[in-house]
Amino acid sequence: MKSHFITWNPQEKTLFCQGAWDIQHVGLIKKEVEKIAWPSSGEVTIDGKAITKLDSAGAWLLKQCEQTWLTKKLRPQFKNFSEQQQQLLSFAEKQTHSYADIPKERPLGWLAQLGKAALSQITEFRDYLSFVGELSFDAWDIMRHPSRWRWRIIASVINKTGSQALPIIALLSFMIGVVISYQMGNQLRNYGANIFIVNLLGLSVLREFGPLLTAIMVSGRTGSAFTAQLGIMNINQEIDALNTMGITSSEVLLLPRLIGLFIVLPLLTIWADIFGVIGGMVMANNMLGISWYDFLQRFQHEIPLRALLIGLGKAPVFALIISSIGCFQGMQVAGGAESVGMRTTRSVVLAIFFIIIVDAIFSVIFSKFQL
Amino acid sequence: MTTQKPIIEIKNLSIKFSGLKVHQNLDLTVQKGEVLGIVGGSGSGKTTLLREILMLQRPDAGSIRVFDCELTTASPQALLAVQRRWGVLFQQNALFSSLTVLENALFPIEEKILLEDDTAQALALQKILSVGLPLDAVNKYPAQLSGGMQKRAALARAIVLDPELLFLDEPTTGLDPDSATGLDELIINLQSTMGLTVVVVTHDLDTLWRVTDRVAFLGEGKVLCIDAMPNLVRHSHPLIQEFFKGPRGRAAEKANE
Repeated sequence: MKSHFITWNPQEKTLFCQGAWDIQHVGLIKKEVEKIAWPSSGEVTIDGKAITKLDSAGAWLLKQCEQTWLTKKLRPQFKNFSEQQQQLLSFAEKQTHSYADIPKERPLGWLAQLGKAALSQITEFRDYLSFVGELSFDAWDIMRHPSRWRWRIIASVINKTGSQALPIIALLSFMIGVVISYQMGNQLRNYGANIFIVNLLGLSVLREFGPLLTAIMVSGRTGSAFTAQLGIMNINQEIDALNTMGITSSEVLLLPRLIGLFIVLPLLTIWADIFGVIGGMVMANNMLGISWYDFLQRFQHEIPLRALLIGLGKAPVFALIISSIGCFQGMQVAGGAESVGMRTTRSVVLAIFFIIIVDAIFSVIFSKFQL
Repeated sequence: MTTQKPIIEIKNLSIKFSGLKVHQNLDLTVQKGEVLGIVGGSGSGKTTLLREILMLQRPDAGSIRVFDCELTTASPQALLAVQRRWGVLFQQNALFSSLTVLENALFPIEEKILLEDDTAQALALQKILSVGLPLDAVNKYPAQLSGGMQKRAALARAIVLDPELLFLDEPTTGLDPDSATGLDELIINLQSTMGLTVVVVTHDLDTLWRVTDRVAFLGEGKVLCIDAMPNLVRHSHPLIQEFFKGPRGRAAEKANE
């Protein structure tokens, strides 16, 4: 048998190797070698005279062949290998473990997996509670020392999470107002009840859509930023550095974020309310023929102040949810890039999840008290 | 050795960052099969030089020939052929944090070469074990390993394609003396068995004495002197004297005499 890389001479029981025995060709050579019908006994000579290039992959293949010959009770003899090549062969001989030798973790059964997942959820919730508890203690501590209030950092948080978010929140709220007005207007027109759009739009935007959508947008925009930022700081040991200086991360990193968002979210909610109502008003004017004057006139009569206050009252709660989850997930980052991505996703998903849950709870409570 | 074409040939290399001239007409030649050290004070452009050779940083002027291919004007295909023949160990390891050690070492093989899975795994495993990592480290993630083991894992990934040329950026930085010595020995062993040409950027004087054949001293934007360590430390240039004549330099010299 003859090929590019090997020539098998059955009479002399010699395998002549030639060409480049390197990692590029090792797959090819392996297939060719496997085709050879080896003799049943005796000595086999491997001649390396014509090998132009041998690397550790080629040496590995030769050693693999040697293993199969030895199991077949053949005695392999290596001939005409240079000193460098022999070094490579002995290098390959030392590393003959296969993939099967690696100790593997046994995969868990479904019950164990379920238990593990449940436990990790419980542990995370417990960690979250202790995080909030620690933060509350630190907050109480700092509250009594006005010199430790970090106004500058709070201001920077307000700027980044508040004023820089104004355009996008205005635009999206306006669009929501337009959509609500359009969908409800179609129905109302069928009954000739055009003017009731004011009641519907006012109540739904002020009580629900304004605070809820603002909170969701902010958790996507700001909660994720908190997590990623704190996570990278954690990996860079910046938080460890703060701790060794006797400055708690709560004081300079966490509480300013919490307080900043606590101030900002109600303000953003008013902003969203305004643009939501304007969007609805524009649509009511275009589609239902309600003049600006009529709309505003009816608005102040029909929409109680209570609607605005209930909506605004939810915003600080949402703010605490977003910032505490964002900061908590950021502080949980460990390892590397993968963990940052995972925690950021979790931060946004959990924040939105709890915002909607809490909003539902609020609705139930308000209806119980007939607010 | 001198009759062969050099593996790396750098001529008149110049680069400046925001007005600061880091390299001015720098020349450097690396011969096949040698271990070349690159040293110099902080800010002398060691890492910049390495980044330029690796084409991570474009020089302002000059020529860099690696494996007889002019990198500064090379086509992407030609560059790919060169990249296939070198391996790099970065200072911060640069292991992929979302992959296990085995997957890290497998990655270049799977990307560059068509091989059956078990062959590829066996070859990756061969390199991982040859750098002295234990079997149970194979399925761990980089974050679960100590600094020295991460270095070794990164080295395994760098040599997995059997490169002819290996770049090491500060290989022993951040390691305890014992691990550092182990890594030095590993580099010497791999170099002789795999027939590597090694370019090592380092501050570690022990590594310089033990591992290198020649050392290039960078300063004032060029190579001030390139010679074997015993000759280099006797060079009269004040920067070189300052670098090697401190207590640490003398101790390393004495230990390796």
